[in-house]
Amino acid sequence: MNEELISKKDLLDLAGISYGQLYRWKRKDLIPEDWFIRKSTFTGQETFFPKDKILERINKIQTMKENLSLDELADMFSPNISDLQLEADEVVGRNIVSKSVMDFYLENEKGNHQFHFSRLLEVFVLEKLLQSGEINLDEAKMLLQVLMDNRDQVKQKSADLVVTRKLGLSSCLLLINNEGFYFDKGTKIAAHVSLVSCMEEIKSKLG
Amino acid sequence: MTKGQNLTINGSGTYPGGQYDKISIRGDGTINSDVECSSIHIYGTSEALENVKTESVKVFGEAEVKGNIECDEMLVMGTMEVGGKAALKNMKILGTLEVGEHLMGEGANVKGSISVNGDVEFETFESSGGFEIKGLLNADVIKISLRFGQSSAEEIGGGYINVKKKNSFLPFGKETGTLSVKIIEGDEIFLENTTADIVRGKKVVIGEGCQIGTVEYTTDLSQDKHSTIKTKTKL
Repeated sequence: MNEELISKKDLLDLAGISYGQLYRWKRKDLIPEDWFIRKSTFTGQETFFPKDKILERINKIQTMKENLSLDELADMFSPNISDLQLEADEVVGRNIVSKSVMDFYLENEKGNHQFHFSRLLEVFVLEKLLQSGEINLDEAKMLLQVLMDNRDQVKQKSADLVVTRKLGLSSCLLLINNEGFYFDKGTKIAAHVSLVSCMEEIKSKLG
Repeated sequence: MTKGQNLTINGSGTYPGGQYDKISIRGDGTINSDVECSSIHIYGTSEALENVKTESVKVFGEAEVKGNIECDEMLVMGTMEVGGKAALKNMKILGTLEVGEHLMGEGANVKGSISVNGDVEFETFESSGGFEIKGLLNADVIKISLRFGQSSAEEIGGGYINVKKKNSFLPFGKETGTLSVKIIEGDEIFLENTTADIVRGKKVVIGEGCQIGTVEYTTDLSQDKHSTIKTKTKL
């Protein structure tokens, strides 16, 4: 899938920011290096960005920079998983996950009550999808299995999770560095979440 | 940081890395693994075969780090060569500095010369020496005085960019330095003695001795009559 690109000057114009701000954010790693796409145009070399991603990111930076320093923002956007440890009670207590979903997770995952980031992400994804009613408990079990089997992948890369249903049968896909996906007409996409944005949500809840 | 022992090398010697308090090398010293310390003074020749992490580095002689270096205060009067990345919070270069990959930090003051293969990122970058940057020079405030030689960068980007020519220290001769860059982008740009393909900015002043391919500006553009601009576009 080809993402829509936006040139740097159109971006500055559209978002109402200056070169100074854009370069400052780049220095602080608020904008990932691989979003800077260099291309030759008839007016010379220009830099382009993936339009939707960069606009969403700039919007986030602008709304949050009032309360957070640029360094704190950088921590939030970086996909590096911080070495945090939380107790199951704390996760529930901080309203990241509801009690019932937490019980369901612990029962199926059979782990202890210590939550590091990967497990926190898994339980958070379940919470999100179960609470919104997008998936049922059986699908949640399946989804959890997929996440647990691919923990390393999820940690390193930008991953998306998709749950589909066809003729009453559901299946779950984990997409790594996804650029788009298409199904036949009979297949219904029951749920689609980006794990990177889930990570960001968790980080903002913890912060 | 837990304070270790001091390491002093007078004469020549090879020592292992680890944690030290102060390191002082007066002859010819080699440190053959990762080293962490509070300060390093080099008066002779030294080589660190892997990474270095320290608060302050002073080089009066010759120093080489094969890996990466991380340091708060760096002063180079002699020559310094870094194979990997250099994160130098504040650096003052009176001699020469060569970096194999990225160079980053907060304040840079270059009176000698630097040569960097990757990108250079600082909050303020001041140079009255020479530089050769193969990547992007990115800083909020960039002040460049061209005294001698030819400085170059692939791209320059930032908030305020000021490039001025200055007479060299030599009393005779009117030779000054030049700068050549492919793309310059900033909010306020003032250029002299600069050759660039594209200049993009809000407010652009093209002073003496410039040759610019395209200028794209949003509010103001002024041009010295001794400079050439092929195309001008107001956005």
